[in-house]
Amino acid sequence: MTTTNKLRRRNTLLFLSFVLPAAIYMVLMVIFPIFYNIAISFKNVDLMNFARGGSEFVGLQVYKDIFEDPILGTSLKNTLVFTFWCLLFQFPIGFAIAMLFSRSFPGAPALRGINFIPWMIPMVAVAGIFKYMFNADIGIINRLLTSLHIISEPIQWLAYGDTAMASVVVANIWKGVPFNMILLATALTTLPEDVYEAAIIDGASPVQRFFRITVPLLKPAMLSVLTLGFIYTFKVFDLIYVMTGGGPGASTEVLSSLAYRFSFTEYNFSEGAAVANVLFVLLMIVGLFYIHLVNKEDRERSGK
Amino acid sequence: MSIAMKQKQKASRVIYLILGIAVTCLFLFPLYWMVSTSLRAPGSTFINPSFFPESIQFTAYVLETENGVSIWSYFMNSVVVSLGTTILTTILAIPAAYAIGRFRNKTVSTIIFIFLVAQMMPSSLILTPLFVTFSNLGLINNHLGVMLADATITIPFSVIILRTYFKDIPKELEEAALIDGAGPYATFLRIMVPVTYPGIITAISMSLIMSWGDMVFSLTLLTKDSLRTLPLILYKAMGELGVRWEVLMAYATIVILPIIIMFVFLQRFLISGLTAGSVKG
Amino acid sequence: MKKFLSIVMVSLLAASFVFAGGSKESAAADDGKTTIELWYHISPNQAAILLEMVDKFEEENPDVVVETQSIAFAEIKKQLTIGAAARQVPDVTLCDTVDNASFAAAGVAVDITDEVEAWGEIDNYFDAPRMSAMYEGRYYGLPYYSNCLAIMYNKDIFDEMGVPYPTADWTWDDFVRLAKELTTPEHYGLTMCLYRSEEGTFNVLPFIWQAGADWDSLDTPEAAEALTMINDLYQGGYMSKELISMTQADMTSALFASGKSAMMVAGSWLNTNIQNENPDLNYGVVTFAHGPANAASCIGGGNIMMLKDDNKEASWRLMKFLSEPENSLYYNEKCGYISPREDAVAMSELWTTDPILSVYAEQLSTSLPRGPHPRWPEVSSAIQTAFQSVLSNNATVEAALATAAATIAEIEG
Repeated sequence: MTTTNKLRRRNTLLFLSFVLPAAIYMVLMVIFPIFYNIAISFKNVDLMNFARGGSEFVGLQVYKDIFEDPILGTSLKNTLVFTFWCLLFQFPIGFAIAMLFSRSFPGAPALRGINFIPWMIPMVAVAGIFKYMFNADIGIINRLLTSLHIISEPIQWLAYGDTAMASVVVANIWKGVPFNMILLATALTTLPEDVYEAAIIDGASPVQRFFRITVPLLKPAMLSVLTLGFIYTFKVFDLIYVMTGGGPGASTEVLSSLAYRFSFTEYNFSEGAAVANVLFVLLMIVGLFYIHLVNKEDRERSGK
Repeated sequence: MSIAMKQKQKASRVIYLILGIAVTCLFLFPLYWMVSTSLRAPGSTFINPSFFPESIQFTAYVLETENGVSIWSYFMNSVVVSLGTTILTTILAIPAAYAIGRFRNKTVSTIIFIFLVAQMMPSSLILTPLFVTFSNLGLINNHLGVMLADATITIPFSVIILRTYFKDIPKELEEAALIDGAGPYATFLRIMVPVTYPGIITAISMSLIMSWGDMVFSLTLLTKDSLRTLPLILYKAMGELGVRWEVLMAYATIVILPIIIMFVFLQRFLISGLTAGSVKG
Repeated sequence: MKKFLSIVMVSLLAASFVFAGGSKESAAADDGKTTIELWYHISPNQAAILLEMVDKFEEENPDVVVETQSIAFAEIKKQLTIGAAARQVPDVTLCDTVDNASFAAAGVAVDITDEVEAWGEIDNYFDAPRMSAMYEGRYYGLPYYSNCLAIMYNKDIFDEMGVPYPTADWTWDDFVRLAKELTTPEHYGLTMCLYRSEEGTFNVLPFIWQAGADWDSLDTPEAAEALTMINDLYQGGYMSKELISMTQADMTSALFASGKSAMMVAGSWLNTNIQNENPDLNYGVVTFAHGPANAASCIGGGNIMMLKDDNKEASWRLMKFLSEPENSLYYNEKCGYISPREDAVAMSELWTTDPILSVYAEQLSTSLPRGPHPRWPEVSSAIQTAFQSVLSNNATVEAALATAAATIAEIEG
């Protein structure tokens, strides 16, 4: 064996000794469960045979059942609607606040920091606060809208499908804006100032500067923020579970709450696993795109 | 710069400041509303509450839950779970992030891939398998089970944050230590870890915040009331106390308070944690 | 270094075990005593009565030690189901009546038919609770406490508006008319649980029965009639819109106890909630109004199940003890329930003379069990989705019921 080979082997061992504990942990706690879920989604594990065993391999029957059940389509549609509205608002609002706080004025960094707080607040608390604010009788939102004469009758926010969806969307936007704001604000600080100065000398208006310089330069960061935002929003669970429980009816049922419902309310573990797998596949498609972005950036960084 | 331009700039700074404060007040209003509701007299939330509480009362904070247990004992459960998760995360994530950040071989990209996938995975995906496995191991109704489950979120996040810090350490620093005769483990522990301390503080504080806020795993893995964590108690209370909003908002305030305190001291690390964990990958 | 790390980690995990305060397994048998474990899911007040009975049992049976464990109402089913897979279940447990059949079908509950028959007391039970403990002709539990729904009404509101109190012979027409008449800006005419949980099913199902349908015939005009009546009252503002997200305990304190509702579909155990919230409330109770088919109510309550046959003799002794007529009487009286035993009910004045409880005792005779069906949670979920979709304007009555009927047909296989 040559010295380089020896060195390489020693290096590999060294590498493994650092990375293996965490890697084994991830395999046991994440990879194994993913395969377990795939396995039980091809069986008929339910309350009847969960305890005493005897579940059978049923092929694609469970998937056939859930795809025939209209609730899967409803939940998928709700998940997409929820994600769409959240991103549609939280991204521009976050961007606007990021632009504001990237101006130099006294207290700008401190204010930017304070606005970061909602992102750190546990989802269950966010859900609690907004459930209170959207309460039809004593909620501040109805009171505000009534006193501004926007509405004359209190709106029963959480009692009807569309308004319940609007309520959870608003709550999620509140938590999501800081995430967008901080990431975009950080990206804004990296923009080269000389380009702007040159543009000002050339007589470009602020709007032109925004669309011709800021947007193109921020494109990678924006793409990254949108993709991550999509992933975090698409897998929402706590907020829905606490605020509406997927109701009324199934009007705010999303894929993750449906998976939980199948498994832990109806005890149909195979159906729960199958829905979770559908969610996972959809997330993976977007996730692979995100990983592609990360790798691209990695290569660019190492290339420097 | 002319005086006119300077004045114009000054004026625009004032306008930005006013705008900034206005945005902040509007944006953080839900938090004000939560705290101000929690300080109201019992039962006063049945009627339309005024913008400012008429009198400040702490009644809601000293109430016991339905089972006669003080809310602060659940607070301690949460402290145990989030500290345990964070210690476990730190021990596993730092060496792994170091290995991924410093070594170059074929497996690195695969391992990064696993962590990135784990970061995106919905918690509901692993609930049933963990439940079954933990039942067999006797880890249901045990805080250790929740710690192990919470760490499936905090470890990938921490590894991805820390990787960038380790990556940015100049090679010379590591080589100098190795030339001095220090072994690879000593170099890691005495040179690399101290150098990346901002990253490590970031990872620790993010782990604390994430495990503090977890409800899904506690909901599934803890069924004994006395073991429950604070977010779970807030959720349960919303079912049981339904209409006593001043108590619920007091619970929510207690859930949020440690996070605000951490924010005050660790703001810089938290913000860099989010950016390091997301954009840089 | 590696060694150091692993030592740190092991000691950390060990420390977590100590601090985590997980469930401690007790030493099984000391000094020849049999230890059996009993789980329950009842409220703290009711648990106090149960524990009193357990103490008495231990006194009379010095060879048995009973370890008790409280599990949250919403959690006990999950605990028992998953616990059974890992063989971590207690010897004996209380459970919701509606779940007894599921646990029997799942092989979680032990078949105690031989013991029950040798005991020879089962014929003293009311039919509906007795049926809830049976699965495929065998016994898998003993009914422990019973309750059913009836209509509570706020006498002050009726008096104030000069409306006579409802009587046992009232009909759906009277019911709807009263709900509408008694609605003012100050209070709603009616309150019932429309929550998306078993509680909602429990409240809605009686109306479906009264119309002449059942859970397995939801795509019928009868079921549609029942749901249409509820929906009309809801959309018309005669019920609070908040009911869609309120549990029975919530709606009792927020609406009925605080005088904001003239009538409420409620079980006898909610008396305790009313006493806690507003002891001065002047209210009465009446049996359900007669629908097109009948005036049926829905039976609820709890059964005792045996889950392990390791200590079968001692476990059965505990079950028998708790079910003795005097003990059944004591527990049910104290907790505001009705004893599932006819002979125990006959022993007490309470269920014949108390103005509230006597009505419930009467209603119990026309009460039906839900199912029993081994996959009841899935059936119930379909029913909940149906009525909530209608109430939230997401589906018409017919469409929602057709969807539910299709789902239930699929569950039936």
